[in-house]
Amino acid sequence: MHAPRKFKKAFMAQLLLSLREAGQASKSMGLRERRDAVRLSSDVAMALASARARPSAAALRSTAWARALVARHAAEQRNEALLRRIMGGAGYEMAAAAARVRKEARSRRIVRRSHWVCSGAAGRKRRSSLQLAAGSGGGGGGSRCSAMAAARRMVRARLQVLRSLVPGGEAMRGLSLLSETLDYVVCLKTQVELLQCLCKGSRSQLG
Amino acid sequence: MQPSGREMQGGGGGGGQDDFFDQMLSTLPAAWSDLGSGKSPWELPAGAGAVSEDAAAFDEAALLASRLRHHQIGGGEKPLMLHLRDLHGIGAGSGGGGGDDAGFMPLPLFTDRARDDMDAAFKSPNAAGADQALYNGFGAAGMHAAAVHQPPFGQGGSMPAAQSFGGGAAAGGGPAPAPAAGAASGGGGAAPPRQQRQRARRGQATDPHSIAERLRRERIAERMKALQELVPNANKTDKASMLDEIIDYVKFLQLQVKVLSMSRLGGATAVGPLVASMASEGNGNGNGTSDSGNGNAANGENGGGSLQVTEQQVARLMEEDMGTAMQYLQGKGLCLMPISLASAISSATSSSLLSRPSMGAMGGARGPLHDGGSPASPPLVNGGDDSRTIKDAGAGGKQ
Repeated sequence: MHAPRKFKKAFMAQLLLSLREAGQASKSMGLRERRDAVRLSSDVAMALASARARPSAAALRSTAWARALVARHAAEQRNEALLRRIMGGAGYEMAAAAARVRKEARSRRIVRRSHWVCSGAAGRKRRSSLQLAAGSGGGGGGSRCSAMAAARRMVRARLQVLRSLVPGGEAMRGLSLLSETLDYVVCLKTQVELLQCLCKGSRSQLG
Repeated sequence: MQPSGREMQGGGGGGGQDDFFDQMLSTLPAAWSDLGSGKSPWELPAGAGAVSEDAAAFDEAALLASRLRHHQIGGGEKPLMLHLRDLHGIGAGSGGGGGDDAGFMPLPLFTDRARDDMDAAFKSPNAAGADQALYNGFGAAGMHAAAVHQPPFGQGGSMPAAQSFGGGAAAGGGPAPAPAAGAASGGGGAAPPRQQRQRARRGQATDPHSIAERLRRERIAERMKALQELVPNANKTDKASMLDEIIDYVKFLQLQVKVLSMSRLGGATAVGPLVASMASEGNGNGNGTSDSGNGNAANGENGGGSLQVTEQQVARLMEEDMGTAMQYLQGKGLCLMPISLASAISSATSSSLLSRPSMGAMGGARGPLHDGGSPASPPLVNGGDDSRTIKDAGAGGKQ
């Protein structure tokens, strides 16, 4: 599933716009701020482009990671001016609101999930589902089940790491996590390609 | 020849003939229960449609091989559905003639058999029996589906065949949902668990939980497949290692974005420790075009302070061995150049670098880096240095 052309074009246009906005403000900024500004603008561009170009593909209006990404940037105060200019005032307000809402929702979900994990019913359910899914039964079933349990643990650990990587992924379960990862990887790839194009373009321009 | 081929694949895949057989058994009835619940088999493989490379594999051996390949990621259900779809494809796609007959020939055998024969066929553990049972199992499943969905088998050749199976389907329909329920309860290999499984299966065939869970697992498998295509180096069959690859790839992409955004500015952020990892990672994970970008960024990342440290390091290394010194420099994304060239470059770009005093300082600092070696030091090892300074000047000029 590679990014369709329209998405790339929209992304590129948005990226250029946001970079221009960032450039206007940054005469006096230090270099590290510049880097952050560029990164922020490209992230926002990515999120906006994906939201705009994929209403047909995704069921949601915009993908979860996009909102989370923008919210993450909006949470930092120093980016406020830049974000406001890039996304327009209304968009920024939405992002700020989303950030607040997300934090509460996330903490609530985490608490709920910890309850679920600790409770006995969950343990019983998990054990029974393990037996169902083991699919071996009969002889050698015991070792097979423990192997399956170990595999499941490994998978769970990796899912946890993935959750920390993908923005907005802390509060998601397995299936949605995978789809978010998919979208996010596609967008990251496009972002890298576009940035490289920009680099090469600016480099070749000077000979 | 063919049974032995299957046998080998079975042994290779499951770690033992019986293991493979058990796995096949557990996956087999899963689809049957779906069919028993009246869902169209075309919906089921719809999710599996992404794996298009198996669609054309009408060959038994190829199907088995693909099933083995996809077994762990696919969770077992999907390969079976692929097989069903292919069977249907065999029945419906080819316009009668050899294709149909080849697909449905075992089925007449099946209709003649009694119910006990089918169970016996399933229970038989030996290779030939296993293959035939498997094939008959698939045949039964296809037949069952054929009975449920007549219109797709619109070919003249297969229509009477399908209709004659209608009678057999009734007999096959009984045991079909029965083994199907066993998947939910985790099928075994011996006879008594099989009878229990039959009873349990019948009850759980229409259990919404198991169906929902199966649907969920299908979707997960589908997503994993899509991710597999996306992420390079994705020939792992194991879910856990696949997740590892995905995680590494996401980290790598994020790092690339960070570096690219830095290099666009030519920022002199003090990410010295990042340089070595960047060089190794960038070369190892190679998008070819990204290497130069990373190299350039790596050049830009050395702050003034770390340059002196680098200088001393290089001087020390050069005393011991020129080769390692050069490697060290390359690892840092730097190079040696004659002082005259360096001064020429810095003077050429100094005008545009005036706006960025840090750049100028770095251009100047590169000169002293050189004088640890002999005047006849080798020319530019990599062109990254030049292009980086030029690029920074350009970026400065643009802004």
